[in-house]
Amino acid sequence: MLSAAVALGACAPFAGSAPASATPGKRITLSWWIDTGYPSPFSFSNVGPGGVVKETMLFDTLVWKDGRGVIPWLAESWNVQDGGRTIVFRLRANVRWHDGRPFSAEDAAFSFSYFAKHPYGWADLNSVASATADDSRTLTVKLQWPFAPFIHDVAGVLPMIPTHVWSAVSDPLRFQGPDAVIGTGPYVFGSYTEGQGAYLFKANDGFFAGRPAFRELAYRLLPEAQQPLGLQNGVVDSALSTAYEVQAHFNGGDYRVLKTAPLSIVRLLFNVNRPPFDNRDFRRAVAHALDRAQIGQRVIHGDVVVGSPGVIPPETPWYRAVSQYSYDPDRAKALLSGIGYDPATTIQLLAEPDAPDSQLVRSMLGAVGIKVQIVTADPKTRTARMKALDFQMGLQKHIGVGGDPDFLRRWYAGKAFNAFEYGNVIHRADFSALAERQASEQDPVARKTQVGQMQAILADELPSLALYHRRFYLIYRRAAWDRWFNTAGGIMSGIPLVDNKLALVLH
Amino acid sequence: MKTAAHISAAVRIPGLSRGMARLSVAVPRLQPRMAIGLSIVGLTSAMALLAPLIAPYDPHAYSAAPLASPSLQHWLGANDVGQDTLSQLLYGARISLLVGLVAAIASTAIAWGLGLLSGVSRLADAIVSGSADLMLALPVLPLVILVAAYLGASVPVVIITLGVVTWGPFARIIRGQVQAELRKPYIEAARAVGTTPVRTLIRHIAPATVPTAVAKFVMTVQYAVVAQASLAFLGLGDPTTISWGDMVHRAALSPLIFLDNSWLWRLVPSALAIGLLVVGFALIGWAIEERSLPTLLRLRLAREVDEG
Amino acid sequence: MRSAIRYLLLLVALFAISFALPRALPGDPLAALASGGGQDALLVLTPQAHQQLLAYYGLDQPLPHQALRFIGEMIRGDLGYSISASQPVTRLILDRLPWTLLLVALSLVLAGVFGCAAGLLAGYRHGRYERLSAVLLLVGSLPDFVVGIGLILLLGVLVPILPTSGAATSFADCGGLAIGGCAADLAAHAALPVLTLALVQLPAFFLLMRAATLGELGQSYITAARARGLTERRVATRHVGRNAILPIITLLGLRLGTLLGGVVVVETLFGYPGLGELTYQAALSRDFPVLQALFLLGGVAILALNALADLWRRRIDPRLRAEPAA
Repeated sequence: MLSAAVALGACAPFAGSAPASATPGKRITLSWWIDTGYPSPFSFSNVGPGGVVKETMLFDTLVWKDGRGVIPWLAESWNVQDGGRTIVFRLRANVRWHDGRPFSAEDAAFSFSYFAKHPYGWADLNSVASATADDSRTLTVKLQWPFAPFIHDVAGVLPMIPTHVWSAVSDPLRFQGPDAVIGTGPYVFGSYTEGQGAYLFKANDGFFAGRPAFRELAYRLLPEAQQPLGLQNGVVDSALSTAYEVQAHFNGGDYRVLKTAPLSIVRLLFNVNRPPFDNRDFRRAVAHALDRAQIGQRVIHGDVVVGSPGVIPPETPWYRAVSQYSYDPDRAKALLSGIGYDPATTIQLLAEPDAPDSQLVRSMLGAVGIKVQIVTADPKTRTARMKALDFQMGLQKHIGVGGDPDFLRRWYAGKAFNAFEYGNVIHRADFSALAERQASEQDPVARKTQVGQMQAILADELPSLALYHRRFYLIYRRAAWDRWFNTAGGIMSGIPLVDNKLALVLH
Repeated sequence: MKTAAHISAAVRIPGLSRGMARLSVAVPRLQPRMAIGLSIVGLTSAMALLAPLIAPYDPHAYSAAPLASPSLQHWLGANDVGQDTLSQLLYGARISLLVGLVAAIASTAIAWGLGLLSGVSRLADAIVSGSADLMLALPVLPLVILVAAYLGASVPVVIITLGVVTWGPFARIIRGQVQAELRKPYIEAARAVGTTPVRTLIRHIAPATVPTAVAKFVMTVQYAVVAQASLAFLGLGDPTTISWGDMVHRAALSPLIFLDNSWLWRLVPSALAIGLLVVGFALIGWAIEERSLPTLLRLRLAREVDEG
Repeated sequence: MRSAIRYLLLLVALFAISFALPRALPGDPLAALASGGGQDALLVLTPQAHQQLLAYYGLDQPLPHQALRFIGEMIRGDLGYSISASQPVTRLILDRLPWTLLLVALSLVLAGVFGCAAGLLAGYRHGRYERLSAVLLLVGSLPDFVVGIGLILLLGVLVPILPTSGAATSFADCGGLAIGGCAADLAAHAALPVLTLALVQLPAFFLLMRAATLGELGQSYITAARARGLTERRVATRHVGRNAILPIITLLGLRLGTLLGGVVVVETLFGYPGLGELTYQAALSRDFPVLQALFLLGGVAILALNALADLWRRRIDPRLRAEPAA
């Protein structure tokens, strides 16, 4: 019956509509779980990575990443000088903006200075002292200190925007006209319908790195629960899920599954400024009380990668094995009585609605005598509260742990700038010292050691507990397109999605 | 749902009572309706009361493997986190019945009280009528959603909101009944003797309104059960409890729910349970209405004469 | 006219409730007027920011001032600003209104037309359709989402002939017959939601029409008409039907209240981008300006529809027209 339904679904045309991709090469329809706003670099939604990946289809960065690592992009080469304090980029020739005007180093320099005044949600420009155009194809960036992750986390993330559009704009958040989406990318903005989360991008035939594989790239909104049905009914050409059973269901036949590295983290944040989480033994008790593998299994149903107390996920290049906190409820109880924990206390867990993880955490902590009350809130509220450190324990699910490990410094030293990064600080001088050092360490071996030591401290202090990691499963129809690949370490600074424009460009 | 008889209260239809009488003749037996309705409600109540004794597991406990299919240990399988469906089904009856009954009690009490109060004086009558009309103009579910957004969607909040917002239509009917009774000669006689208006109300008029109140109560339970289930289905219900609506909500969140056959044991039982309970109350309410129909209708029509 | 005054008073009361509600509920009124937080989010604000926001919303003014300001906003049609959607609420509502109107209108028409036709027929047959009545009554008492899920299973999954989410195929190529092609697509997407709403509404119309028909059939003027030699069909449509319709018109007004609740559930279930789905999204993100505006709008719609129904009845029914406006 199932295969009959699939067949019927695939054949049944919904009156008046063209199937998601009628002719290979004409249009491909992808989807995301929520509406992510107008795709200009200032107005897309930062709740999740869905907004920024759409923007990358329209805008380009100096460098990019493919399946193996960093590759030249708008910059065809670069030179690191002066102990890492100066980087000279040689830019590609014959790149044009979507409106036909030529891209030059002046635009790149302008982009840096404009984003310094109006911050970009995914790049931290604190390390940049200046960016100047020496000539139309040479850009010199001077850093305030030799910032090691600059190429990966800044040059590979910051979109280049046209001077002739933005120099006249003083309030970029409210500037949402057609000029706001002029970039150099392989696709040109076509239309956006709010409420339906429907985006239509058209091929940029003048793209510098090859020919777009499709004339039209469409995105539409499809909540996670409806993705498989949408894929089966031909509404979209690929479905994205974090649930193991979904990809198991679709394997074979017309469909293929691409699984990403387990770079989406689910973690508990502890506010170390507030009792009882200001007590390290209490945090450790919580860690021992939780059966993290079990939590992961019950939520994603398979292929669970248990989180490391050092935060950086296992199976990634920067990972270092640290002391684990095994599931040991007796030890947890012993620790609790050791610190004299009052079982009448209630702890608030700030989480998103409909997260079974929070219920599981509550149940397991309840079993060792820690009473938990779950407080649900929408993403904006949660971000605001975590930023203000107005919470006790929080549950966050997000990406961003697969790329350059500098995020550890940002998160725990209080220099966070992205929504999911707030709420975690630790107060240890040795950690801060290491964090500052690795940020300017040019020697990769030394840097790896330093990052390893940071993980050890994090495991020791336990300001947050990584519960488990989940993969994204991309289920796609082979006939529609099958050149999807996994970007090394995730797109940009660590986004484990497959919406890498390289996959949609023939070169 | 408002039945024909109730709606007809809003307009004057001289021949309607005759029509309804014909219906009663045409309908062969009223008994089965009431019997079926009562047994459904009775069964659900038994489920709710005996849940701790007959449920195989704690509904919150993670007793099974996630997405387990029905087996000997778990007759209806498990949900996506591994909680036993059958146990949740049995315990879920408690929430539906609790919200339904308590909200209906509150609503009926308010409607009855205010309806009776309208007989005290003309001013009271004006106030009660006006307030009832206002209640009728409010969109109930959006209002409950709004209040739940402010105060948090706990069971007490939902019960109170539903109770406070749904008394409108029946306060009007009871008021009509009261006004009709007030015109009767025996009331005049009582007044002449010196009975206070309040005494009149309690001793003479109130008993006559009992059948109406009973019918109204049953219908409000039905409405409240639907409202609570809808709220839970939207995910706006009480997070500390697992009601039938919550079960449907969780099932609908599963990506494969319609693609493999798991909707059979994850979606159908809870949806069916809600449907059956509502149907049970609808049957009872229908049976009561048709039995006391002529009386009710006469009174409503009389009220319409007065209202103009 | 007495009823006109009554409606006006109700309207004023509705606005008064809308004004009072956020200020009456426990907690900081700022939480209720600035969206996206609820009572806890305010802890994030510094005292100056808090004061600034209070001043911005006029909450530091005495109540009469606030009331005047509120009235001014209502007159201007300014329903506030939704912070979670970064848009004025009025615009959000206007964008989504057509979709909801489509569902509401279609379902009411379907339920009304079929319900009345069937009711007329059943009334004529002197109550012979008891089984059908029972089934319909019970279907109509089911919650909307149960009916909706049932329809999804039947017509979207087991026999997948209808789309189960969205209002239209995005970027549908409407082809040569531009209007026709897109209309068919819109219709297909609206089919399941409309069917769900109609199924839940239909029984009320059916039962009322049946009862009213039976009532009319016993009247003397029907016998007279038949004696005059009119065909049964003529009698049915011109006389019985027209008179039996009267309570149906009143029913329309009364049903809107429950219909609005149903719309929230159905639109969310089917992912239909109308006002109901907006209510759901706003509830999730605690977007109070939107929730309040929708509540107000719902109440106004109900009052308006009831007023219209009243007017229509008065026009059709000469008995009411002849009444003195007491």
